[in-house]
Amino acid sequence: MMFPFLKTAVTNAFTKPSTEKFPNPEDMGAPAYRGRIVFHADRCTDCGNCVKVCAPKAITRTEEPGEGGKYITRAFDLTSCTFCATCADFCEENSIELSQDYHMVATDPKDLIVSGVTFKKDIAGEITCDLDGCIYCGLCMRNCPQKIITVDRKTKTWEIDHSGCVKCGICIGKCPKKVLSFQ
Amino acid sequence: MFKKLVDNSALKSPWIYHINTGSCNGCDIELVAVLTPRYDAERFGFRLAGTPRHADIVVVSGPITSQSKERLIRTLAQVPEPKCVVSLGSCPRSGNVFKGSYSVEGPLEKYVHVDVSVAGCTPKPEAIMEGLYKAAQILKEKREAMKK
Amino acid sequence: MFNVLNIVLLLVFVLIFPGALFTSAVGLWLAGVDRKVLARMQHRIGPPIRQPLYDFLKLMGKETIIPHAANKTVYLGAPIVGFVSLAMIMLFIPVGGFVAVSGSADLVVILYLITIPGVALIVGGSSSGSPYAGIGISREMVTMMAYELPFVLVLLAVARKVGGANLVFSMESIAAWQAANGSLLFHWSMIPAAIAMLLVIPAEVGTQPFDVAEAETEICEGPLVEYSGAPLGLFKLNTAMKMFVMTGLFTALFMGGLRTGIVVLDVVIFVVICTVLTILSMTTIHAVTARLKIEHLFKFYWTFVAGMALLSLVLVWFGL
Repeated sequence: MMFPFLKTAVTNAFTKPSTEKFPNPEDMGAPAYRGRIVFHADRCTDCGNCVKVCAPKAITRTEEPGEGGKYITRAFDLTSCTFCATCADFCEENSIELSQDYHMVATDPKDLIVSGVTFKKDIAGEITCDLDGCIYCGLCMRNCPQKIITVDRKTKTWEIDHSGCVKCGICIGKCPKKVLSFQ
Repeated sequence: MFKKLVDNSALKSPWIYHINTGSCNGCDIELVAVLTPRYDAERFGFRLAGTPRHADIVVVSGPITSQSKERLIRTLAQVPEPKCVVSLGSCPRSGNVFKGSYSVEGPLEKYVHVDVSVAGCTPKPEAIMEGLYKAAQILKEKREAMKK
Repeated sequence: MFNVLNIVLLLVFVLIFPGALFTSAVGLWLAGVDRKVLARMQHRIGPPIRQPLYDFLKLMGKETIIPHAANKTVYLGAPIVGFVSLAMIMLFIPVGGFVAVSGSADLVVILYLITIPGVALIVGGSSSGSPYAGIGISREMVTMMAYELPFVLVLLAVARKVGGANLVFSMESIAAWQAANGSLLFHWSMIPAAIAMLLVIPAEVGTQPFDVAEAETEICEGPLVEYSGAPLGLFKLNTAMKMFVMTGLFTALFMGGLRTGIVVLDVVIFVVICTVLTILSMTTIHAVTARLKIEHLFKFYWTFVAGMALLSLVLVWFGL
């Protein structure tokens, strides 16, 4: 046939168009869609993992001293984000979430920055390990965002470089024997 | 009264010119998806123009490579007033993952004022349409500000 | 002879009906219907029917950029020349039963006037000094050569059919003949000519499969590449008016006999027929085909379309 689409064209002209309604506020992204970042600042422990893993360097951290601690502002620049969700995967406290909201349109780029302020209390002590109970499993070493803990199972040593510690407390949570603490 | 008619038409008939400044092609195909039957931007008068001389809205995608910088500036200079610049995706605004590369000359804000930014990597066609519609409204405001 | 009343009447003919205003209004309507129906055929909602009007008004409000390389007078004058010639053609075509100007060789005048918008496009494009326009105008010239031959053959066939041995080129006589003997479309020997004419319309207007000269995806809209603002708007208006002029010419040539006697009703019927013809000859073909190459277009017009027109002419020549 010379015009294979003639029939389709004529049928289409007399049927309902397949165009979607616009704007359609009920319509969200697909179930696993990675859209606008939601940051739960109250859960953040300021471990710094997200800043480290971010490929396009879209996350910035600013610090302001406060009474009995410091205010930490974490800003996610959506105009720089690749929406890979690596930061959400690495966040131990699940404080970063990628919602299904894809309406990320703004005339002012400041509207596209998601930020949250965390108050972090000054913690007096430093991480110490009660070596009697330690089984040298290495979970604290593996989960430390700053990579300052060294554990060697063969020689039974547990070492920490206190100068690099951000006092996030992840190692305390991960320890199966609960032998780590701030002292 | 004639001026008012013309001003209203600026909202109803925005023609798009798309320039790729080293984009990965993700945003480009999503922009074309906006014109497909499912999203059909033509019902709001959007039309893909063949040359920057016919355009009202310039859509820029890509992180602006050294090679494309010259072309971008020349293209933007050819668009008649009133015009609107839309940045598509993260790349033109910030460079995205290409940030800091020796061959990336972004961001776009260095060369022209960006009226609307659509975030996403890549944005969904619905979001692009929303951005283009916002750009059309800005176009109307710009047209109203014109004397004639 | 030329008293004030005559001059006023002529001005009304040229400026309002059936000249500039009426032609542009119906042209924009046809262009809108074309876009809407095309969208529906592609399963979309499509723009509102007054979309071409919005496009035109918006372009009126845009900045007009004149390139350094361009000749300013020719560059700005070309679209106006095209517009004026298109408005003039409508004076010679009987709209319903209404003829503004009639003479003994209307068809020849129409034939000349109808090439002027194409020539204006070529002149305007070449004055802009862009290499894309260069490619565009060369293609536009080939397109014009391609459709002029079948177009002239169709007109000859009509003239021979109506006038017998002495060819008749007067639109009024053609209309009168059709009123007496029935529309030319219903004479079987004229059907190939009608098909040829239907295929000439999209090439003359420059819609999809035959828009090689203005291919926006490959040569950046060809002759229009440097145009912006008001002159571009006029060129877009010219394209819309061409739709009305060509479909109107078809209606006058092949379906001229349909008359009720009331002028307003006749004009409405005329416009309705033009709308149907637009959908049939332009929109449907646009929806189901992709752009041709220039050599394919030329071959198609000088073999199939010219063959159809010639068949009709030969049949008519033998008195069928």
